[in-house]
Amino acid sequence: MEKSPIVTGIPASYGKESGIVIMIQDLLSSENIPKEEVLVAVGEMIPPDIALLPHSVGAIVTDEGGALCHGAIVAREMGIPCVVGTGNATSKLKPGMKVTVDGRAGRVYPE
Amino acid sequence: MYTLNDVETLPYLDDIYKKLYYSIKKYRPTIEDKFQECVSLTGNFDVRLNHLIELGIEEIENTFYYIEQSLNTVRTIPEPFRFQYLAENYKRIYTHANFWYVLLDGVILEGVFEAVGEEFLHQISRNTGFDTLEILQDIIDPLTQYHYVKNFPSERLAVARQKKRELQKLLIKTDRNLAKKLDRFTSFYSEVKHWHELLNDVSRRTFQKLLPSLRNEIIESFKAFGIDAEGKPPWDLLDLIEEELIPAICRDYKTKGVR
Repeated sequence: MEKSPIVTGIPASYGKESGIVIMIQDLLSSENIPKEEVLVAVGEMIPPDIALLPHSVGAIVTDEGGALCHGAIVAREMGIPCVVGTGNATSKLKPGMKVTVDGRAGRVYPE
Repeated sequence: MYTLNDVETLPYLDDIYKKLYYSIKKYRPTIEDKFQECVSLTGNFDVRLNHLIELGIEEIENTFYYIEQSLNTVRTIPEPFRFQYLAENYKRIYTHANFWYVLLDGVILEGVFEAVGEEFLHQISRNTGFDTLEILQDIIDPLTQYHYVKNFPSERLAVARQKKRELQKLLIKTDRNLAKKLDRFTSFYSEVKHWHELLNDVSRRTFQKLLPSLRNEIIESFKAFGIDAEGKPPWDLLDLIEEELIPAICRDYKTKGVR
């Protein structure tokens, strides 16, 4: 049986990736981030400088924005799965959770 | 022709930009004309907007060049001229630089482009059966400038060209105007990526670099005159400067003279 998604939103960039959840503000400020695990960055919006982050991000999920917001454009360029405009990703997805992001379907599933 | 008469008719403009817009409009009413021009050109995916973007970036750069020079010399200026100088510089950021930031980022890149662009993509999707993400990721993205990925695979480019031809054929059958508009949208989208990059770069070199220092200095000035400015949003400080800080400086100057 297929798992129910934790959050759903607007598909903004293809691909499916699994990894641990990290909040975008932690990603921007902390240096103690495990590099070996694929990260799913979650935030209200995608910061404009996401392409310049020191850590490689496996997928992006946001509360706000549409398929033409800057972060979604960058995610597509970088080939990272991205789901935007979920409305509740920052409250439903907690740091450290293991999830799978399906960018084409616009869904995030528990691992 | 996509036109709007009032900023309130832009429900997709973030509240923070609306607040900024109105506070700037009090001090620089010409933002209204520029707003209409930006909305009209963006709504039509007209790349002549490039000229306005260049002007905007130039004005932001010039303003912050002036602010940087001011911050270097402000400590050497005697009171109360130092306070007055800081207050005028703070106002200048909002009337000269944030004026353009609101238009470029809030109105063009995030507001109108996203709303009108998405509406347009849905229209194409309804006419052709192509999914909107498919149109963006498989056709438009590969055919526009790439800024973060430099070595784009050429085979994906060939596939994108082929898919665009198929999409155009379907559009010509259903709505010729949409087919023409797709070309305009593709060129405009390419420019949008470039403008995002320009604006991020100028923001790092100007707002992010200098605004915190000037804000701290101006808050110190408020404190010196016993005016409570703590916790006020940045744009509210504009009114406090006009209504409280500058009159306080003038009163102090009249009673005590130059110290």
